[in-house]
Amino acid sequence: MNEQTTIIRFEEIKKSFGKQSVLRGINLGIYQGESLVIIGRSGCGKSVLLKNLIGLFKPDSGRIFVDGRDVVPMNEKEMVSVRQKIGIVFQGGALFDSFTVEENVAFPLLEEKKKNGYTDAEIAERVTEVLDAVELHNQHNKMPSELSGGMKKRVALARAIIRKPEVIVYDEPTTGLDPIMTDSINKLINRMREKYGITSIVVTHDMKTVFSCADRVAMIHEGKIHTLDAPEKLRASADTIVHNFIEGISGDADVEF
Amino acid sequence: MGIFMAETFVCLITRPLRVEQTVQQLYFVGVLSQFVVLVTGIFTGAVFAAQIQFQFAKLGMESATGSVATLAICRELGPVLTALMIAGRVGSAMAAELATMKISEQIDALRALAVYPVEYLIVPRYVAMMISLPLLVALAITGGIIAGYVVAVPLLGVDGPYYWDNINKFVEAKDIWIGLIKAFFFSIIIVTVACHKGLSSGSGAESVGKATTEAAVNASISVLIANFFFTLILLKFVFPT
Repeated sequence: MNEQTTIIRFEEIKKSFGKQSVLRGINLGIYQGESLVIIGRSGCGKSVLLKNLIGLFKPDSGRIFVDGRDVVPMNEKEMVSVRQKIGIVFQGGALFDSFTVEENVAFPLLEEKKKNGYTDAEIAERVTEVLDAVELHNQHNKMPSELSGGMKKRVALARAIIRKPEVIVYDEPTTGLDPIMTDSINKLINRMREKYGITSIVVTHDMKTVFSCADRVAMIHEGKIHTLDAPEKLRASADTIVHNFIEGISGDADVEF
Repeated sequence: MGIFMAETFVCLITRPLRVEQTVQQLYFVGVLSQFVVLVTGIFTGAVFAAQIQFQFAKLGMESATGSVATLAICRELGPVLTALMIAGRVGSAMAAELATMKISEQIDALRALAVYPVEYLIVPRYVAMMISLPLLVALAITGGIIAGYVVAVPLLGVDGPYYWDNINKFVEAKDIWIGLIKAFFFSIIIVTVACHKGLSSGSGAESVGKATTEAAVNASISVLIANFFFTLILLKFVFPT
């Protein structure tokens, strides 16, 4: 793994919603091929940072470089090429509920059909390939409402990888799942990386995911990157904020309602 | 809302139409609304013809029932009542669907998959509404005129040939046009309010409910208010007597 190539770089990203300032100057570089896990308390702006990356929100100030190009000033049309490089797995899966599993997964390729000249047979083959990769066999014709939470996330992951993106962004991939399913999703994240060499950015507050998936961990606190280090070093950290987060210890201020 | 409309029309002109989505919407908006609209037209035409016949009989003018009822159905009752039914049936459903898609991040997912939601979700709904509503209004008008005849002539004993003759004499093509032109603009009002309410919904189940109700109520009120101005403009400037 060449850790010198930075594929994504956030520079001084600031974002407020009304009077609430969520991101107060985020600086972060992501290396090609690495697995970076972003942690932080609920509502600290982890998901907002990801959504800034794919242009669902625009930051109030700052720059975001993807492959050396600043994506902040891009319009929807210009963002298309960036979004094709970055697959995203949304928190709840965000599957299209009027489509079957197969249609959901095929959707990105069907959208590009005219441009890339895929045949229906090629698309069907790719769908089976990615559904096999996420270990969903013979579920092609189910509707999203018939799937469990873990299965939905797998379908969402299959949909995200079908276009062979360079980067996959996972927004809380294990939230709401049982421990066994959490472990299997964590393994899947690692496998995607090994199999396809994809750069992963995982937003989570699940410590299991941190320790099983991360090369590096970035912790967001009060709108800034508080710590950026390897997971083992984080565990040994003497910093109270990091220590309390990892061990799940609430301070006095947290129990005053 | 103005920006939203402008964005939609620019997209309608500059980007290829999503045929599959548009056909689905045409089926939902147009085909599945026929029954509701036909019932609305028939019973409105029937009750209106009956009321007019009761009043005109006192003056010995029963045979004028046809022309008055038909004029009212073509110009006002047909387009307005059809639009109100569609605002309730289709407007609320559109708002609910879009709001649900928004809160479950499906609209974000579309954008993340490099699909422009206005092109994929909104333009097909606009096109389906703009085509369907005038046709549905024509259906309601037809139902209303036939029902008016059935009530006035066989049931209440108005002379049939005179009834038709008066319709032919006093109802012109422009009266049908007035109804259809209104229908076209009502369709834009309803679909704009519905889509805008759906997409600007907040998060949570309560917001979806709110977006749905507001879409139906605001679209209906806008139709009623706009109708008055359309009547004035159309009769005064477009089709002056």
